[in-house]
Amino acid sequence: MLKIKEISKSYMQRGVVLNKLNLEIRRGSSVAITGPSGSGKTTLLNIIGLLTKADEGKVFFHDQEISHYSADDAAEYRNKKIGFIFQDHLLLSYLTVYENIMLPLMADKHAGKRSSEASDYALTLMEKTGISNLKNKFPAEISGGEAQRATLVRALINKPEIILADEPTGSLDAVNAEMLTQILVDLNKELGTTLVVVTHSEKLAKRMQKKMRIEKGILIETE
Amino acid sequence: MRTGIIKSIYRSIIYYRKALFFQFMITAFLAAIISASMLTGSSVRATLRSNTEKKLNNSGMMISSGLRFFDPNLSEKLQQKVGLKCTSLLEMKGFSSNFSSGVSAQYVQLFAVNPDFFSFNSEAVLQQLLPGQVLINKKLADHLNVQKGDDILIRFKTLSNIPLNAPFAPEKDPSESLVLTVGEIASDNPYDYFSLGISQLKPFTIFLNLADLSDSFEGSLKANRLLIQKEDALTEKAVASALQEVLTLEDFGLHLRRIEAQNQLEISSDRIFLDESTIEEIQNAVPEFQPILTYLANSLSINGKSTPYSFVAAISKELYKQAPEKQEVEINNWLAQDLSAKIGDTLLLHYYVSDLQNRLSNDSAILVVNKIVPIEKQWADASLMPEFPGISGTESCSNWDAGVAIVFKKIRDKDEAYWSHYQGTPKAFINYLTGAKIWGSNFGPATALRMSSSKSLSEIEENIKGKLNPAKLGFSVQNAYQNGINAANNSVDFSSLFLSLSFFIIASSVLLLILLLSTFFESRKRQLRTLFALGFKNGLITKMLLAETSIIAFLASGLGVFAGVPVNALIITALNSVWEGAVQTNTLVAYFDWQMIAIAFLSTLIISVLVLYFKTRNFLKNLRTQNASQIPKRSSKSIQWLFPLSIGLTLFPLLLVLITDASSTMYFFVSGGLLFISFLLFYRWMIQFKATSASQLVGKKYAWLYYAFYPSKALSTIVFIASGLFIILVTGANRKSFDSDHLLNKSGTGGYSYWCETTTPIAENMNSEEFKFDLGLENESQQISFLQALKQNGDDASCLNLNQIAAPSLLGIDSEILAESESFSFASLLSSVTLGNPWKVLQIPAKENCIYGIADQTVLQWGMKMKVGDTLTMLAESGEALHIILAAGLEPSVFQGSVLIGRANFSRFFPSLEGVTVFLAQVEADQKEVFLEKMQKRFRNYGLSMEQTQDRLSAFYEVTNTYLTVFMSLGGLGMLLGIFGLGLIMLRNIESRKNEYAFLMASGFTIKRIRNRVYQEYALILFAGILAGSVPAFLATFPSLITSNQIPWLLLLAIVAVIAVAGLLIIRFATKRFINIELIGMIRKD
Repeated sequence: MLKIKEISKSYMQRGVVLNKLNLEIRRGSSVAITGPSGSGKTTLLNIIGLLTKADEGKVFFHDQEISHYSADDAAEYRNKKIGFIFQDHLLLSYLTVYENIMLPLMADKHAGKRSSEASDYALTLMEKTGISNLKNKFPAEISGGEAQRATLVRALINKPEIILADEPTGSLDAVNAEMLTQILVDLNKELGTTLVVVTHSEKLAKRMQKKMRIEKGILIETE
Repeated sequence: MRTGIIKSIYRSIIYYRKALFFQFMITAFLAAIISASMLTGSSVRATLRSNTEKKLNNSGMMISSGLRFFDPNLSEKLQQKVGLKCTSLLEMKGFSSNFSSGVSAQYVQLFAVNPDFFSFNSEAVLQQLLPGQVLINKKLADHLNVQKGDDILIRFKTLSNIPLNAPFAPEKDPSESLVLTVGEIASDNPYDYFSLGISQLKPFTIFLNLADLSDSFEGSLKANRLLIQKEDALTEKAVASALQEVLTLEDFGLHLRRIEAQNQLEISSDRIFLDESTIEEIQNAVPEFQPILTYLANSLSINGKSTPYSFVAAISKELYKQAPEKQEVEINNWLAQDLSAKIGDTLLLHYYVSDLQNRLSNDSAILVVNKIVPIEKQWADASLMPEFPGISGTESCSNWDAGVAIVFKKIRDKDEAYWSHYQGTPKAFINYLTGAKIWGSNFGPATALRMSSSKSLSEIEENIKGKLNPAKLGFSVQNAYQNGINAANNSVDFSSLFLSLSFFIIASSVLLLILLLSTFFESRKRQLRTLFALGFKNGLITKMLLAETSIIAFLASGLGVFAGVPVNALIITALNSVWEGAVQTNTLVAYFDWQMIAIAFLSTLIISVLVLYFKTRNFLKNLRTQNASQIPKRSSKSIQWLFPLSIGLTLFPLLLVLITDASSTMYFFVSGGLLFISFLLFYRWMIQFKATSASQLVGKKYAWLYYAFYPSKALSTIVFIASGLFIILVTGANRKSFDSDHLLNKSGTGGYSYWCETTTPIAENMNSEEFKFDLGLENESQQISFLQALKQNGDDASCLNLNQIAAPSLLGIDSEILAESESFSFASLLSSVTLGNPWKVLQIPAKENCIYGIADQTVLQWGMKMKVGDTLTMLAESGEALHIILAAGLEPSVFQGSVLIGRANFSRFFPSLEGVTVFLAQVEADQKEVFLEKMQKRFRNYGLSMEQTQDRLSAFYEVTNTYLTVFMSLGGLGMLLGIFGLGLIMLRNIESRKNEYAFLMASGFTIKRIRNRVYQEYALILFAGILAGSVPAFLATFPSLITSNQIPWLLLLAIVAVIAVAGLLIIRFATKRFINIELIGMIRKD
């Protein structure tokens, strides 16, 4: 469903980060991308999410080239097809957990029509991830693991086809990291959502179906 | 270690140069504003000092004889004594007109000078004036539109040695006029500026020959001012001492003569009457001199028989051993025969007496005849009668011009025969003490001083010479130059004024500096945490941060103060042009002053270092104590009832306006203030309300949730914009102007319609039926009334004069009229005054030369730098000190510029000032046209100027209103600067919300959409502030807005528009510049 062809990206200070990189991800699969710091993992994720433009190469989604999308089309693609999870949970401190989860609906101008449905879906996901009791809590009142689970639910609220997770367990302790990893794996299986995880964690990477490593700007499949 | 820290500070400055550059610019801007304000004050004072030098030219000391005159040759004697150039002149006020066109000028200063005046001044523009020629200054020439060779008419109060209102002074025209030719026009030279007064305004000036006025003094020349060349070492005391040594009796207008028949020496005065201080001084020098008082009795009657118009002499026992006792009278045998009188008869004495206000009235005394004396020896002394100009030397009684009503038909042939034979020989003699008691007046209790002596005149003159204190005889010595310099140095403090007017700019600069530091420190949070982690002590980190920023503050203050020089030049240019209303002159010059530069530098440095210190300290304290978890709290319930309560309170004063007659101005202001609070509460409530609805719907309104969580982020900006705008608009719109209230008695007009001044005094009682009949307004008599005031000229202490005034004009008014009508309002009152109506305090008679006075509060505070309860000491006509206790301060009134005292007290201390030159007229609106026409006709030769009281107040208000314009303009500029602060606040908020924006991008928002949302958020905040500032300001000033024609609508609208446009541009710039794709990089870098 997602193809990346001959992608290159370089930065002024860092030089070439991605060098004619190719990648193909199948629907429902889970992929872990590892590599040393500064190797271009997050850059690759941002190119997939159309947050960063590649210097060269193309990105295809369902065989349709999306790398030339306009800002509006790219935004709609992110809203409808992608769900982001970051290392820092990025929950807005002035919104409750529930409000944070519902936030992506704002990006859709027609979201009002399906807000009731989305609300039910949010409650279901919260139930599944064990945070239903935190609905009216503010981010400052919950733990890091709970916050990251809320982030996961927020990433799923628009029923995306791909979840792009950037170091999702990076700021969690071992217990919470394990819990989140399990939830990600379960959801991948249960909902069929494609999972692309950038991580340093070998533990998390091992739980993905495919494990790849960026070295010198290219991807090497390790398992 | 220390070297390392210094290096670290240096590196830090280099690294953060961009952020520190902004700190530099703001601090430099602050320094420029402070130094420009300081330099403006310095420039105004330097200009005033320069004006003093220009207008006084070569003059240093000035000797003034006040209202009296002296022989101009005194200057030669004094010149020899002090070894400096001296010149005598006669200073008067008058009016002038173009003889051909009739164009006239009021308030012209006339200087009658001797030829030596032109060599006295350092710049010899003219050697002398030819007889009949005048030198006029350019301002007057332009006003009259005259050229060299044109004729002009000048009119001035009649000059006379004898005060025109003194008893038995001959009737004279109240004014004199001369037609003279313009010989020279003074332009930009000492004569163009010449003035002995203290004011920054260039007057209308005419110089004429002293000799051209000789007719006024029966052929002699007289002067009233003497100027001494400027010499720093010369003191007032030295001049007074030199003056005392050279002054002779003649210089004082006193004449010593021998009365051979009586073997007596006599001193008489040009003024007829000798006042108490003159008598005392002469007696101090020669104790043998005794006063005598010879007076004209209207009739002397015994048992129904009456003798008209006879002179009676009051003599003392010290001089005449046989002088009668206090209740006795000695009559000569002519009178005894005429009245069939015998010893023991009661004699009824009728006479005119001059009351406290120098008005003549009939009075009488009863005395017992104790002796009948022959008309011989001392009883045949015709010289006892003083030289009454209208009586002495006349051939017949019917030719008398006694200055009082004489019923000539009462004068019989035998009276004429007595006059023909004995002249003014007194027919009766009374005790001096009795005479002084019944006939003594403000002009003095004696007509001569006599002593029995065989000494020669020169011996007596020698005895007296150098012993008479000039100060006790009406002479005053003033250091005119130093007084002018002092007045300039203590003039209105434009430094403080402009610092106050620049309040918003300064406050905005400080605010901007604080915000900038917050942003700067925020960006270094991680670095500072690292320093803490490495074990740096709080004190050391504080010092390091403070050192970095203080170095910048030092450099910025040092350079910024010099940027104030061109800013000062701009302000001075504005004061000379668009803001001229504040200073009433266009001659201000921008000066450079190192002292002011140093003060401005230190002030800026202190302010900025204090800001840096407290900001650094607070930031580091917060950094150390910051708790990662914030307790979430969205809103307070109390707002729900506070807002409606506030709205209710806003409406309450407006309801009071509707249901009561109370003055609405204050109620509207209170209401406006409450509406301002209501607006803020409304915004607070709205955020909460919207947040509640947003949390239910989620979706588009999530921004409300942010502000519900952080209400201060929206409200602080709103409060800043709203309060600044509210203050600027309220101040700017609340201008002093006129409405129907200004015709009320309580207002600054006192209910009077016209303020009138004449060059020539008006002697009549203008409220009398006779006067109104004479004026041709007998039918309108009830609708027209006057308040007349005697005026002792002084310096203008109104807000139109920038100098500090020590000797303001005095107005003697009939305060009873004002007390009855309860005219004018008082701003302050001496607590010890408990007479009911404050005006009554002016009626309290003098005690030991202390009287009460009232002046405009503005005059007290700004013009004289005094307050109620202070004592103003001035010189009375006689030269004695007159202490005026300031009993009350008036709300702004038409009297601004003068100090008011009671009329009786005025006449006592300034007896020579006869007739009123200032009066207020109360006229019904429909009578104004007729009134003006009749007044102009009646007083065409009096140099009458009439202006509507509201026009006079307008001139004073213009000063205040110009200051308000300056405040608004600078305030607007400050607000504009504050808008840049809004940009910084935005930057900080964007910085703190960058993750949020980045997440929104990741969630499917386009950058454009996020920018639009942020733009709308801040635009809403901006307009909320503008609305909360301007609508309550409109309500608060509503009464002014609907009645005043002075509202600078354009400026007000421009300020609002500029703030709105500048705000939108800043928001647009900030959103575009700081919300971009790079934000995504902030989420996490590889």
